[in-house]
Order: sequence, then C-alpha cells, then structure tokens
Amino acid sequence: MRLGLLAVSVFSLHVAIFGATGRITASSPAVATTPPPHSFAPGAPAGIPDDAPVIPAGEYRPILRGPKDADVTAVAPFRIARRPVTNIEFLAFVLANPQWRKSRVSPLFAESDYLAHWKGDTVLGPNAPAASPVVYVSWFAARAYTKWKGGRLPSTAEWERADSAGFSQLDSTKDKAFADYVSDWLGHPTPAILPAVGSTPTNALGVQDLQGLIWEWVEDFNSSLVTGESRADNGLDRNLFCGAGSVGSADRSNYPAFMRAAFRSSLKANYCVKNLGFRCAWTLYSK
Amino acid sequence: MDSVFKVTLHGGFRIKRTRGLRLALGHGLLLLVLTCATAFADGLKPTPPPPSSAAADPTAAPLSSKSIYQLDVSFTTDEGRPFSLRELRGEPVVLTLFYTSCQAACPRMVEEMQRIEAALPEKAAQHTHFVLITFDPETDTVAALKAYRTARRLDARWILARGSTEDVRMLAMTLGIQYKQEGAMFAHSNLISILNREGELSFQHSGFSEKIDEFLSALQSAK
Repeated sequence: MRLGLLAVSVFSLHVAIFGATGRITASSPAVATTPPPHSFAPGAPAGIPDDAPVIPAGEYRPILRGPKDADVTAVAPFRIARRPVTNIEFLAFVLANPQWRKSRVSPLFAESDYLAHWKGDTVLGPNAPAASPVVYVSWFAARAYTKWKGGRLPSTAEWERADSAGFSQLDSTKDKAFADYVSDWLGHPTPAILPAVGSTPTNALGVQDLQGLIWEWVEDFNSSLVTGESRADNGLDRNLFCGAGSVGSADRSNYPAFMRAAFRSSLKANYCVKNLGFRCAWTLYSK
Repeated sequence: MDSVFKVTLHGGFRIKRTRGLRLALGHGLLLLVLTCATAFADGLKPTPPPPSSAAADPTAAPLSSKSIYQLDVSFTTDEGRPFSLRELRGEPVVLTLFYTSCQAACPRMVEEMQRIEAALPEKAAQHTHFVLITFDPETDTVAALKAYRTARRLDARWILARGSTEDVRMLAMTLGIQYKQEGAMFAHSNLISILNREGELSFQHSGFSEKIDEFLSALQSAK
C-alpha cells in the first residue's frame, strides 16, 4: 500500500509540475511506442549521457582556409552526443523554459519558422515524431538547450573531427561505402517527415546521424567566411570584410565538406531551417 | 481496519475513509505541500516594484521583444568595471566589434565612429553612447583597452569593453557579424550598428563610407 501511495504521489508531483505533458503523449502516439533514444528527465537536465562517445584527440583540416590559417588544427578530446536532439527532448526543454515556446520566443532569437513542424507550443503533432531530430531551431535556441543540458554546441573543428571517421575506417577518405552513403544522401531531398534519430549507421568513432539525416548547428558557424572575401575577384565590395581575399581551398575533392562550409556561411543565428538540427558536446578536460 | 481508517479534523468530528479515498488524500496532501512550498518560494522572491515606479522609470519597463539588451551577456570596461548592455538603455548607441591590434579595418571603423560623433550636435552627442567590444579578449586586456582609448583620444562617451569568448560570440551572432581568428589576427565583417533607445537594431552599415549622413539620420530617428 505504501508503494501505491508513493506511486500516486510521484504521479501527482509530475502532474503538478508538468501538467502539459499529458497533451504531448496524447497527440504523439510515437511517445508510447518508441521511447526516445536518450533517456531524459523532464525539467531536470541529466548529466552526460552514458552513450555519448569520447572522441579522442585528433586533427581537423579545414576545407576552406586563409593564408594565415594552419593546414591542420589540433582538436582536444571531447564528448559528443551519439545522436542529434529529438523533438521530445526539445519539448522537455521548452516546457521547463517557457520563453522558448513558439508563441513567446523573441524574433531576435528565432525567426517566424521556429518549430514550424510542431502542432503547437507544447504539442508535437504528426509532422514532428517524438524520436525524430528537432529541426526549425535557431542557433540561439540550440545553444540554450545545450547549456540547459550542461553541455555546449560542438565547434566546427569538433563536428568535423567526429565526422572524420567512416563506417569501418577511422579515416573516412579510405571508406568507399561511407563516401557512397554520403553522396547518396546529398542527392536526395529532405523527406517531409524526418526518420527517427539513430536510423543511420554508426561511424567508427561511435557517432550516428552526422550524415544521412539532417544538417547540424555548430558553435562557430559564423566563422565560415565565404561570402565576401573568397569572391573578391568577382567585384564584390572588398570593404565588407577585414582579411579580404584570404580564403582558399584545401581539398577540392571533398564535395560534402564544401557543401557544409557553404551552408554554414549562408546562415544567420536566428534562422530556422527544416533540415537543420543540432546535438550536444561536452568538454572533457578544462584548460 | 485495514481498508478503513479514521481522520480527526480540527473541528473535532470524525470521518471514515476508504482505501481509494486514502490514496486521493495522499495525492491531495502532496499537492498541498507543493502549494505551500511554492508559496514559500514566492515569499523569498524580491518584491516587484509597484507599477507606478515602472511608469516613472522607463528602464524598469519590460524590454521590447526585439531588444538586444535581452542578451544574457556581460562585459568589463577598460576601467575594470562590470558592464551590462542594459546600462545603455534610454539613449541611442553606435556600436561595433573590433580588436586593438587590428591594423586594417578597425582603425577605419573607429575613425568613422569619431566622425559621426563630431558631426552630431553637441547635445545629441552627449546623449549617444559609442561602444567598442573586442573580438580578442585574450589580447585585449583591460589595460590594452585603456591604452587604446588614450591612443585614439576617445572621450568618456566611449565605452570600450571585453567579455568572454562565448558572450562576444553571442553579441556578434545577434548583430550578424561573422568573424574568424587567423593566428593573432581576426577576419571579420566591417559592420557599424546603431541601436535605438530600447536596444533594437535600427541601422547597420557594412563597409566604409565617406558619407556619414545615413548614420546621422538613423541616430536622429533612433527613438
């Protein structure tokens, strides 16, 4: 009987704090059938998920770099979420942080398409399956989520480092199956309803969905300066940027990396895009 | 007795409860505790100012949804004083990001801001903030910023400040400024912004311009 009372008490606590969650499950059948791949406690940020792999120290070779940039940037070891953040995980964040609801978010921090695929402020609806990656989120929103989770967004170097492995090889450039997979994905339009996270093969570093599902925000996406200075010869005003005419290509064969650099350079921090989500990263050792 | 128990209320009368009702009572008691806890927590919060004081002091009113002053960022001035963007509320602002060791664009941007200051009527200039935030907090210490102020002869209307890499990035993102560290140098957008009295972005100019008329009219209309 005490157990029964305890169960009811816990339930009542849940209802008192998270009353709206009942509406979520009602409108999102996937919640009941497909548990989110990351365990989470609504309103109570968890620590680093156990399944977040440690990415060992390595290096990053920027595809586009200026004459003063090093060919290779060292990347310290870090941890990164195995999969991108899902709709249901982001919903927990929105419930705990009402200023990030669709109806309340400042236009400064998210344009009008913010969470456009959700049915309502706290209702996912049929276009946003619980286990699918959250998209239509701004950099500000993504960053706020990662902070709430005690993490941060990965830097460009870290994201590229995590993606440097193929499916069977630690060096993706030696993994033809990986290259074919990426090319095939880039050749297809984004589906109207995104598949669940974790639906792509795990790479050799233990990370999923870096390719084959969505594009992802990185902390320093605004360092991809390919708008003015790299096109200086075409008559664009070179006064727009300091360090003009500086960017060149490191590896012209890496088409997907060009795509990512171009995509990142086209973004603004309040943009919300239908195939752009994010994942968390965590610093392993502080300086 | 296992399925029935009795509760004595303060009024002194006794009522019988079934097991189901007992569970409901447990539920209710928990909610009562929660309510009390919430009320207690509310009691610990600082008392909000009365509405009349908000009306008297415009800076106490809620910020507009487009105000950059909503950013949760903090900086330190070249005098070592903590500086919040919110302090600028109430007066128009001319703002750019720069770094003191820049030998290319930043000196020209600062000169452009100085020309704007010089062209403003004295009264308007006195009520306009000129703000420089560094891209390079590692190199641009408080002392380095102070030295820059002296070298550039920037008067008290100018605020030079540094912040964490994270906070500088947040501000740059909000203003749409791209930048990238290249060794000791930074490649960056050359962008001067004007904020109105509420901290809303009212005008931006990319690149250099010999004419500053657009800035002056933007400042004039930056309510």
